[in-house]
Amino acid sequence: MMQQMGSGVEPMRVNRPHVRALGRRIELISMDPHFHDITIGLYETSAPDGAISYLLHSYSGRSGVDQRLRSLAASMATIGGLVIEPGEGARLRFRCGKGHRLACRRLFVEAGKVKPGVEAQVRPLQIADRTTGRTITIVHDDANTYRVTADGLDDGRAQRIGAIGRGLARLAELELIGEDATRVRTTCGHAHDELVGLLLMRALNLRAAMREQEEAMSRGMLVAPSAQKS
Amino acid sequence: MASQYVKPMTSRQRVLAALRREPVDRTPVCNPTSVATVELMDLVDATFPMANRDAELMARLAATGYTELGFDTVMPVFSIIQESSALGCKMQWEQKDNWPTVRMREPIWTDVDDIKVPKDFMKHPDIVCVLDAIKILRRELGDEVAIVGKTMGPWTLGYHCFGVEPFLLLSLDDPGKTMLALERMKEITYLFGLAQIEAGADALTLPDHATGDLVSAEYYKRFLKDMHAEFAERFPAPLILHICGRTVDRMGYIADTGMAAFHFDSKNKPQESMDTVKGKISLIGNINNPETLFSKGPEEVRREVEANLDAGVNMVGPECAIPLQTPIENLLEISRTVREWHHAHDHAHGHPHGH
Repeated sequence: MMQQMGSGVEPMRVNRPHVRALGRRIELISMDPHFHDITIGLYETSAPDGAISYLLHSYSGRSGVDQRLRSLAASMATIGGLVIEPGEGARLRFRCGKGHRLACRRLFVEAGKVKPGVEAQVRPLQIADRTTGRTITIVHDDANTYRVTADGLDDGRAQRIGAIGRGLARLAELELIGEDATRVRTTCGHAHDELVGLLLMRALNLRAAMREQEEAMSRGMLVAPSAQKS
Repeated sequence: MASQYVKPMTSRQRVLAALRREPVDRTPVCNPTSVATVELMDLVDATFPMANRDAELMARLAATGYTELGFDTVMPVFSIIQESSALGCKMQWEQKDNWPTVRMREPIWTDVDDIKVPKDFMKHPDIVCVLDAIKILRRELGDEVAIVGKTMGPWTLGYHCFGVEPFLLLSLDDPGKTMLALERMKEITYLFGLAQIEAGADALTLPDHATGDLVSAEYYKRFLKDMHAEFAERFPAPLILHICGRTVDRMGYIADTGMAAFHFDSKNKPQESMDTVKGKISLIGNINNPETLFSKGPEEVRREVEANLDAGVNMVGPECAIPLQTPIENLLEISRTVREWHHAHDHAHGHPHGH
């Protein structure tokens, strides 16, 4: 039994890798547009000393998967300021050794958009805000505290930078400081400039970022015919 | 169910016993709808949409429910559209990470007289695929595991072929015509289901989407109860009725149909559901999909599994077809929790294998 299903078809259980305990899966690219639509999971694990690391894994047996995972890990390391851990597999951690789950999930999704062969770029702490025509700049107040600033006239500026501050806090699990919401800080006590730069782009339009997330989450949900939209 | 010693069973024996409401060595972990995920698709190189249309791929993906996740059943019919495709409904087959659907806004029937089963219905590739997949699973998995087929009930077929709104309006405007439509469509349910049993299915899930949000308990009683009882009598295998949503108001009716089991939604609490059916039907429930299995972690899954076990629910599994992006660790937690719960409880009661 279990030797051969049919002509040219692999048996169901023989010589197959099986599912493994990889930690807690915190994000998923269900179809990688850059590598045969494979599915790539982002898993969070904690070492005995409490350090948090993130593993990229695919169950696909396609040739070249390992290379694709390493390439994705390299992109994450560059644009998110992570360190690739030595050894087999594509495993990373933040330099602070702490977990930044939500930020890492967004980083993973953003890194997945980088085409192979294109060098990932660190995002600066400054960006042009098309909505208001201002330049938004993030400055350090101290090592782990960031302040959102904007050039231009006072009219509407406080409101805009407050919205961006709240967006950053929500996207990256940063703590808001003060009522004007222009200052945020990391919970780990360390600087994460790369992450903040990356998420600044998304914080300019938080609604679009949340919509993208909701659409991704609703894909693959089977709904009863009575609740179907089409 | 009385606590007593029961010899160790195979998965198939366990499920069939639970469907008969007989003693089991432990609560079966059951999947009456689908536990396919995109990661499992990669693992066995059998991806949607082709895993819905190619028997070998369908069987291979279905087997992972047993070989990888430790469930006591396998379910090759992941979706709810196979027979509707064969009837000629407009289909959207989608991609690996989404479900195939029927385009119900482009219905194929507008009147009862339109209801016709195509002559080659049973030879349609999307029907043959299911039958062949069941044969492959039986050949490959033998008698180890229960193979569950799926045939859609006439209410669901009504939605697919007439469109949701036209079919519901018909039920309001002309109940007689609606009954006639259901009577004609039930033959499709029967044809496809019987063929799956002949192909080797041990039991059938019969989803009939008289869901709590749109269809009242009275409607269930008026239009479907007797028909479901007829299915239970005609099919030579146990039936598992599946209806999504809050359904505790009609569980009493469902329990009287003679169906072997009811697969219930997490909108119904395990204990209130057990209290309602009063042991007249097995219940399969009811781990929440969108909030728990998809979005939370193993700890929360464990709590829901334990709530079902504590309530005496006969079989445990996800409430419906799981989201395709569901983490594997959450699915593994279902069977792990069932085994550990029994280990703790059965030893406490002096029955190392009893339930």
